Amino acid sequence: MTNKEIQQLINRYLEGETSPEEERQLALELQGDNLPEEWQAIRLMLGELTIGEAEYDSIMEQRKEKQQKKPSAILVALRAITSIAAIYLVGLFFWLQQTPEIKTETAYNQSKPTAKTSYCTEGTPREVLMCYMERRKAQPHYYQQLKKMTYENK
Amino acid sequence: MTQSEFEHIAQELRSQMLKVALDFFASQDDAEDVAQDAMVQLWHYCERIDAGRNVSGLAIRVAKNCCVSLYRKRQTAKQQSYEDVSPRMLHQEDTSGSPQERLEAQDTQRMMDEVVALLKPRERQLFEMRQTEGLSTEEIAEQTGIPKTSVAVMLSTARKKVLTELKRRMKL
Repeated sequence: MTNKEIQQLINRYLEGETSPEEERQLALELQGDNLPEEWQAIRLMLGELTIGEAEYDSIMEQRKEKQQKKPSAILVALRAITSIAAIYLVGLFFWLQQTPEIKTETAYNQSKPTAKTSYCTEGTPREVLMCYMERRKAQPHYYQQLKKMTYENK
Repeated sequence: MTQSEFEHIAQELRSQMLKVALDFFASQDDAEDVAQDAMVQLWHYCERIDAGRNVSGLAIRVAKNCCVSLYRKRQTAKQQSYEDVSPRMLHQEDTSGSPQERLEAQDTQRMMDEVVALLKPRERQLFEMRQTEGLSTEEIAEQTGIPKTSVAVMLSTARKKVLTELKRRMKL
């Protein structure tokens, strides 16, 4: 409250127009040591009990606000976690959608028979997987043998 | 209000005040202390009030005031030091402020009492109903049978008189 507003409230107080609530508010404003003389007198007139009640109410109000802030802090944390999770999900979606970047090269490679001994190591994981599956389909016999060697120790 | 009339309602008032204190302090002991203190103070206020009046509003105000003064004492004790303050000190009557400050506070209170005593009986009654009991203009009108607008006018007259007299004495 500005000094002007306080003075207006005091004037209304002297006219008997203020409510008990407004007088408590005034009591809160008139704290401190360096008040003008008239304000000190008004503070005295408001009385100890009004000042005490005003302080009690404002302390209780502050505590209530503090308590209300606590759950909202949890909410903020939850919101942060969910938004990070959402970002990851979107990222994952686009990663899975990735199409092979070097289409021309793969087309070139397909037209030329690749060396049978080379491994599928180039391209995105998806491309590697597709390459592997294609070769496996093309040479079922070879892969069957490979499977036997690795899994059945033959 | 006589002492026996006060004792008649004391139990109920005490439980109301205890509730106010329990809302404020988590500890049962502190609340009991406050209720005890408030009871003594309330009796001093009630001595001056007509019998048959509802004083539960006043009781709550007194209890709140006692809560705040104990709270203030704790705060200043905390600021001063953590070691020097024995628990006994906190329970002594009015340790807030230096003896000088306490004397000044007593003086200003006495001055206030003297100034209010100069008012006409009706003005004084209305002034105190608001200042001490915290009643709204409507409640005062209801209890005294004076119209609301007249209550406001009389309050205004009383307040202006008190302010003029206070200012005159403060300058001396």
